[in-house]
Amino acid sequence: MRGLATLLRKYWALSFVFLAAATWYVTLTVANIPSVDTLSKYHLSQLQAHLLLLTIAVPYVLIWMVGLIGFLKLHVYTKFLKAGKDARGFKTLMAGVFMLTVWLPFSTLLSTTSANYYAHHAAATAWLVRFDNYANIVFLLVAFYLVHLGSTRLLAITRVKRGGMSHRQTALYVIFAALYVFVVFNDSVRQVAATDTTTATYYLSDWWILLTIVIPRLYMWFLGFSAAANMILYRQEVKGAIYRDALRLLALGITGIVGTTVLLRIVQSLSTTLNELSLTLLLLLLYLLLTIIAGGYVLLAKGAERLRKIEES
Amino acid sequence: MAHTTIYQRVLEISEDYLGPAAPRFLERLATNHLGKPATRLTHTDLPELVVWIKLAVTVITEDQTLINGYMGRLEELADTQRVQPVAKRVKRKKQ
Repeated sequence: MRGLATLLRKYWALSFVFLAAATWYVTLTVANIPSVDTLSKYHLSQLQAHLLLLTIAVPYVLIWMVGLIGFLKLHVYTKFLKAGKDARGFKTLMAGVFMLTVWLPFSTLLSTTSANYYAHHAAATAWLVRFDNYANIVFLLVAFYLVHLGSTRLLAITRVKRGGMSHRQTALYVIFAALYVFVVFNDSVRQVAATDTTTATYYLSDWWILLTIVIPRLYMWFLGFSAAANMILYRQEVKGAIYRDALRLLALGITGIVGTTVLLRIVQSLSTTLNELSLTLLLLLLYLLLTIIAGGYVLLAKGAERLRKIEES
Repeated sequence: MAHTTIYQRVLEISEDYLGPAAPRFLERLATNHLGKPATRLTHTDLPELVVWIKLAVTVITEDQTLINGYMGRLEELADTQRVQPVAKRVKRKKQ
């Protein structure tokens, strides 16, 4: 615990930003009054709804902190690398992990703040929903591109000629992509909201959804899954039995973070469709994904610490 | 040239255990404990370097099989380097 406090103190500016984001998010959650429709749909009183939102907000905030610690440990490790063969790859990978870590509070705050705003300014709803969707796409596209680039650079120092997903994994991805496209275009509220108190998912025509939402998302998820496959391959093929052993946790962590961020984004983007599910099922799904992301960051932190031992001993 | 060869042979063995971290690892040990850059290692530095490598590797991993394998190969290298000068002396005496 003492080591963590020292780490957070050392990188006080970033820690402060995360702490401010956490305070803002919890305040917005408490201040937000759920609509009468939502309360009656889930048979909740206002107090119960607030408490329920807090049970989501608090674990969310804790996961941001776990993510921050995981990223900082990776950052500390990459500072030891200087100009080694693996330095360029790890530094690019770290930049991507930084984007993924910042995306956690960014996406939550953006959606919560805009939801709070359009609850009182209905005319701004469509613009804010569009902005929320595009901001997330741009942010994650950069993050996955960097993680992919970093993993490709790492793989280049091994004997492996070609990285990325295997034929079987690509086939699975094609099935997943087809299902995703099917779900997006079967979303009855993708263009227009069902009632005055709810929102549409995109507020765009089908062509715009396909060209500016679906294709970029499928491309960035492809980059993310390919990066995860590259990391597993790098861990298997890189020279050095002790190094490989230390790398195991880090590779698993990055694979977990990338894979779950993709799944979390899918769940968030299909939230209107998933709203049909029962509240318990929705919450369970959300908690499960958040736990896996937190687990990914814990593995990343532990892996970076083990690799750092090689650089410090 | 001979100095470079010793470094390259130690590096070759170390890369099998420490991968891309091996050059940094050797450079750090040579600079901190032997007071010279790793590329200027000589056969006389090897016994001391092996001791430092063993100490450092024990901190990184608990896998005794790996540690013993790594140390075994380094000690073998140190032995072959020690034998050479003795063999040269015997040859000179005979002459």
